Amino acid sequence: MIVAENCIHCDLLVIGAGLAGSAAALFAANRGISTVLIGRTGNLQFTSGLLDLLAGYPVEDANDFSQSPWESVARLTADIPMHPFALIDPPEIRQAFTEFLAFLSEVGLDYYVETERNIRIVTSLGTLKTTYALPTSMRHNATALKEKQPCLLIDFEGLKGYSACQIRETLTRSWPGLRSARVAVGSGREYYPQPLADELENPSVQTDLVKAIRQHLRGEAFIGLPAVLGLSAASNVRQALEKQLGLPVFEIPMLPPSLPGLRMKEVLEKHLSGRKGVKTLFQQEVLEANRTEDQTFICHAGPGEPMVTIEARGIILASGRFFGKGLHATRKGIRETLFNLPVKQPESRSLWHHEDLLHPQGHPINLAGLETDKHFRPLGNDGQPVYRNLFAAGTILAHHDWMRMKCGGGLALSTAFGAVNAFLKMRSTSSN
Amino acid sequence: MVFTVSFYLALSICFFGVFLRMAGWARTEFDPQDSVGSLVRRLSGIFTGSLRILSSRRIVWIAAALIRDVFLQIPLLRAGFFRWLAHMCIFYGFVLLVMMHALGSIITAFFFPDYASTLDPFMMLRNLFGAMVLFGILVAALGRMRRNRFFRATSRSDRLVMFLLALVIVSGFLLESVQIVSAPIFDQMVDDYMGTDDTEIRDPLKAYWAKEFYVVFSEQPSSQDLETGQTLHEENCAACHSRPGSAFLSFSLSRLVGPWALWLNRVRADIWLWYIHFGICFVALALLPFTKFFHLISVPLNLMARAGVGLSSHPGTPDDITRLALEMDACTHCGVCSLHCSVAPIFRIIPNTNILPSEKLMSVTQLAHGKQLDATHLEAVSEGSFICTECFRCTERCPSGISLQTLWRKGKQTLIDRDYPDPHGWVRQLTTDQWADRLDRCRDNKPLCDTFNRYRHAAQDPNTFSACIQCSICTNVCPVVAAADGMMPPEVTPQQVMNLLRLNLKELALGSRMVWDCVTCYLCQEHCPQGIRVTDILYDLRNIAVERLQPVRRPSSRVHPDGCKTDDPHGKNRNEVS
Amino acid sequence: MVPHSNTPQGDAAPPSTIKTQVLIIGGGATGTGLARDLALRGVHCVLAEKEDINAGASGANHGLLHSGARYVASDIEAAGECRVEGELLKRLAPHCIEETGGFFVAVEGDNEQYVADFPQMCAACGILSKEIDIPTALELEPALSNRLIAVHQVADASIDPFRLSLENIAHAQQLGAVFLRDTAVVSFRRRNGYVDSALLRNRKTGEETTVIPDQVVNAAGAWAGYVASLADIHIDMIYSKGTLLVTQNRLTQRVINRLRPATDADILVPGGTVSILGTTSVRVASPEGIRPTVEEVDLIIDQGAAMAPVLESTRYIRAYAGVRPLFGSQQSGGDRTVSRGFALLDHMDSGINNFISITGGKLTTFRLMAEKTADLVCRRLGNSSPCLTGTQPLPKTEFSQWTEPGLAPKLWLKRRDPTDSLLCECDMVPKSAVESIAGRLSRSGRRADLSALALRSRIGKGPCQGAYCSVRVAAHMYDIGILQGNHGLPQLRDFLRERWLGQHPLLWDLPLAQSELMQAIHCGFFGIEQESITGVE
Repeated sequence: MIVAENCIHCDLLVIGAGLAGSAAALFAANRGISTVLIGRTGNLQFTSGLLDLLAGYPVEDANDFSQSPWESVARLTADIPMHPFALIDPPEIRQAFTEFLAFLSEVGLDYYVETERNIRIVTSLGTLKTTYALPTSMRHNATALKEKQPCLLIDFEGLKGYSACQIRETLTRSWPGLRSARVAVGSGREYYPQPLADELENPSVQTDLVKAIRQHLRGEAFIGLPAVLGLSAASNVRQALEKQLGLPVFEIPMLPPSLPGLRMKEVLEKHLSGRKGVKTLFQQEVLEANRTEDQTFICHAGPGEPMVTIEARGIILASGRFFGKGLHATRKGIRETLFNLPVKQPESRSLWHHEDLLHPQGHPINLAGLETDKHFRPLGNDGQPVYRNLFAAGTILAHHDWMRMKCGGGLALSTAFGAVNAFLKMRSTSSN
Repeated sequence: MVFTVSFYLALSICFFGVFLRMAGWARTEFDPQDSVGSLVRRLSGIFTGSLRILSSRRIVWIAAALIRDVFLQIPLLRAGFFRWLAHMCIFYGFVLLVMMHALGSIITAFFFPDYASTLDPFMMLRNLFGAMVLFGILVAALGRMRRNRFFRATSRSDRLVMFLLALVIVSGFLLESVQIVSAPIFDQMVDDYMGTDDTEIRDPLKAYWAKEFYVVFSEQPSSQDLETGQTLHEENCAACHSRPGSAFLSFSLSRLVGPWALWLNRVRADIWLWYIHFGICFVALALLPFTKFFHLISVPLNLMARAGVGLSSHPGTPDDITRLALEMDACTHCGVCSLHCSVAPIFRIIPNTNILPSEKLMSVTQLAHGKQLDATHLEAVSEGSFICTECFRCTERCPSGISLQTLWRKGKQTLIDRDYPDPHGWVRQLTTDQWADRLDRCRDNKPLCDTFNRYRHAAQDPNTFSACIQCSICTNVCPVVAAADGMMPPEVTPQQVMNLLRLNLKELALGSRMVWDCVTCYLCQEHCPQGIRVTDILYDLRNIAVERLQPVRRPSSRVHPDGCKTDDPHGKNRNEVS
Repeated sequence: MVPHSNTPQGDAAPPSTIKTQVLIIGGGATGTGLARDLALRGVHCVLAEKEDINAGASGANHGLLHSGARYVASDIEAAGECRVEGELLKRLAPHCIEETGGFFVAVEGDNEQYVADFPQMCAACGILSKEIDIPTALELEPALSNRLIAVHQVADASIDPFRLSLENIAHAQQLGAVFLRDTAVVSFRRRNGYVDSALLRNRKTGEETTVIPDQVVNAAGAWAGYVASLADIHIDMIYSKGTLLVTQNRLTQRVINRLRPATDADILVPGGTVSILGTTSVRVASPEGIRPTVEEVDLIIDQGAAMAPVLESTRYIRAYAGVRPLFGSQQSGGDRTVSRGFALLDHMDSGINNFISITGGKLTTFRLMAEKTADLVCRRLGNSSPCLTGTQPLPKTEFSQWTEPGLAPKLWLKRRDPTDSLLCECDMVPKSAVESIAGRLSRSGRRADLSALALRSRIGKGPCQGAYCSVRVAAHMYDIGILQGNHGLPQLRDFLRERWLGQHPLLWDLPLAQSELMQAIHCGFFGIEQESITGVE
């Protein structure tokens, strides 16, 4: 028997507080499941804040903007029945998006979706990013791009890695209406995105910025700024600028750690913790997981004293890939870090990567991961689920290359959705 | 004759000394730079100030203070019962002795015209007071043995004072006991008061005294007629002599010396002891201004001044300096402050006595009196002073009512003026690369870090930082970076410190501002996706930096002349101290 | 003598023509060294390099300045040359060299006989070696294995080959030599026993140049055979591929050699802030497209770990491979037994009188090779001025200094310019450095691209392997106007691709996570793998 005070009992333990984990916790809470969410939220800062569904299939034309994402999904699941998307009905994917985006807007982070088609925006590199759900701060980015409207791109003194001139130069042949200008905020010193965002939440700084921008305006219809317009008060900042400039303003996503990702991190941390039925253990991790004969999981979490013990009837493993430390690779091979589940992987390390970084097919190792049955339960070497109450969601799954297929967001949300439903099913069957 | 001369000599020394000390208050100046007014101005300041207060309504407060703090010594009681007990015994025992016994012919005789030191109750009281003092000293001594938790607060002058006191009392008792058994004194008194040599008449009295007053005679009195002896006693002696029994201590002592009485009488020990006793008393009197005895004057003055003026009247004004001087003199080095000091525990890790207020005060006093301390001492004082958090506990606890806070601040100011600021201050005298140059020029191969084990090697073990994936989140969340002023030399960000370490540029890392500006908020460490102990490493570097930069920070360690003259406003001071 | 472009004459003349005394082909250590040697003798020369400085073996080696001790058993002559040249370079080019000193260490199981003979063999070649007792050795180099059985100290040193070649060519250019980057030989025109002109083409811009030389020197290293074949000359070449690994941290202070007959992965050379472990020797058919492989990496680590166990666990940031140009008819026996001495061929037998090939050799002896070649060239040109490279110190140019690890942060902190922010965080390369390099490059004719900047600085050489700095540098290049149009993206791709070649065999543990982040950023988010990602078809 475990000491009561630092022991938490719950129905579902979600391991991993990235996009998939957070979504899983949300979905579970919405279905009245008592849930514990544990993991580092830091890596959300590396996400672009955009939620891709599937930018196109096959990957070679992952930039084929004309495709409807849903058609692509259909074709994808037809060709690759092992792809996680194949484990869920498209309606469920839609539902996952709707439910998650509803939550975000409920907590003040609005997203823009054109349900049937993808959206395309400009990145700080001047490349065109095809995505599905877009922070509203970037909505005009899409509009301006689509209509190739005359547009003034602003960059900031001392903000490295972002050059308005670069975007203009890169796109100017297809979009002649672009102009660029550099303005200074505060002292001309070096700025990092987050401090800059904080600074921009200050009204007086906003007015200075507006003044500076006005000097460069030559009748453009839109104004594009790096995605650093405020953190928690982002929408206010943008509206304030639009109001004073009398022009639509949009953000251009840039090199991570990115503000849009950070905004997502902030609201998830803040509002999942407050959510009814959810207990969060952020910046902690499960160090050890055991299973009693009555199939309850008993997990010990750290760091920090006293060590927390979590007793759960089911686990959703959303611990991510190598960067998220859900998977770990040695010279000998790849293993899953917590349960040592079998990982589907190429035979030898020499097959992990192509010699060409940008090989159109993507690297085989990015298809490695956990194989599951249709209830998202990781399979053992015998092809049977390892545990009937252990589920997996997110990028840790095998047979997807989200980086090439541009399906990260969709993958996280839909597999989280599927896993939670699978858990519900499991619970109902076991209870009666 | 000898008596009077030595007495007045001692007295005048005492007065002169007291005057010197008081004049000292008026001469004290923390910093030669700032003008604190002429001696006359300061002295007049003292008197006018005191007059102003005494004539104001404050007089009530002072009276209150006098009763509470001086007569009842409540502050001491707060410091501990035994302290209080000891101090009360010594204080009252001695004061009463002085008034009733030393100044008996003046004070006591004034109230009791037929006063004689050999009459009861005076004889008994004298013994009682003496006993009180001895008891007090005993308790105090024991207390000192028990108390020294961090350090030995007891100084040499401390022991000297206790020793002198004990000597005065003991010699007194010895004297009295010898007088009790002394036949010569008996004879002399008989001569003086009966004026007859007729042994017929003398012997009964002699017999009576031998029996009742334990005087020891060389030859037994021939007559044993005690009745006659008693009547003779009644007639001639009773007016001035009570039975010795009531001098309980001296009497029992006299029984002890009994066996040697004859010899003692022969050598006239009474006379010798008499000289010794008074000799010691005069020595003590003369030493009063120059030893801890002086607190008899300074502490009450200070307590009353505090009651009259409050903690600190007008900081920086000449009178305030005078006031501080008085406070420094009021320190009895009782160590109460150190016992309650909130940073005293650091003394366990950094064995620098100047961390302890009671010890630091002595250094500060030396600073205040413009003494030229050597570099190492000044560095020690600086370290101690800037570790102090000014939490006010010492001031609150000080039984002498010294406002230590004010003294600490003044001390810090002086240290800064003498170019011994805290590390946060002096590390800014050079820029990152200048520090690096100096470290390069005077390399020492001793291990970089000898500080708290907790952080040990965090900055030296590549495993602590080589997992960095260069995402710059640590910099992104760093409040110091966010607050950095663009006009400063480039702030080395947390990530850049990690990279300097990875690039094996430890010297640059040590000299960098970030190491010192870090507010140890731990945001970087909490946000690092790789779990790198960024803050711990910075903290470790800071500890290493103190050790490594301190020795190279003075121009004396300059290898070639250019050094850092431009960043060295106090060049002259430095050269003389180093 | 200065080159003069002459106006087109007669039949479709090439866009530009350069007349020169000597055309040098190959911008490796030998080529650049030769350019300087000739320039110092007042001979005008044009150096054509198909890629960039040290693109071949000169850039893909340990950066080890041999004391010679390594060759005492296999190649006494080479050992002697190494000794002499090593001492000379330490004197004349100190800014390219770190005098680390070196250990030869034997561990349990190594050939005892060889260990025993080693001192005499060194002595025979006049190479100073001193036996060190094991405890002392371990104290000096804690990273070494505690299974040591013998340690000898020699005068090995580490040398920065890029700095070396950059300084050489910089000095040559200063003396009037012409350097053509990205310029490959397309063909030679032979006329009655002479090569009277060479057609060159820029591989990036495609622009063609005709060079009319008096003499042609083929210093193309591993490509010497190919270049010669363009002039219908056959050279016997052996291509021996060597792979090396770069660790993230500097593991030892000294050069560590395995004290055994030369074989795989037995040298660990400190290079500034890193250590370089190698190498392998694999016979390959051609110098083209050779890459480090996973198998080689594993072999090197397993072998190296015997010498310094930390090599098993340490973080590697890069692997690269080079081809040793070994000259000699294919005889049996490992390539390491083929002479590491060099071969100077005058090709008179092939009926050409102004074509010289210099090949083989090794970094340590590059100057000697250049000298001997220059002597021959000058004899042919009737130029009698003596060689000066053996006496004149190699000048130090500010522009070539940025390859030195740890230098950038020092200078950056000295400048104390708050607007001069770091573009590369790993090795702390600031804007100012990029600008100084770019400035110099554009002054020397061609505009700087990302890879050229990286080659001349520490950009992309740290743990992030270009993931972050590439974007920051590119953005800055646009800001200062050395990048225009949509050339940024191709350059970014090239740069990252080139970095990747050195990364992918090393991707496990942390570096794998790092590379995942890099792909997430550049493919997942920026989508640079899509050719049409800018919408500009």
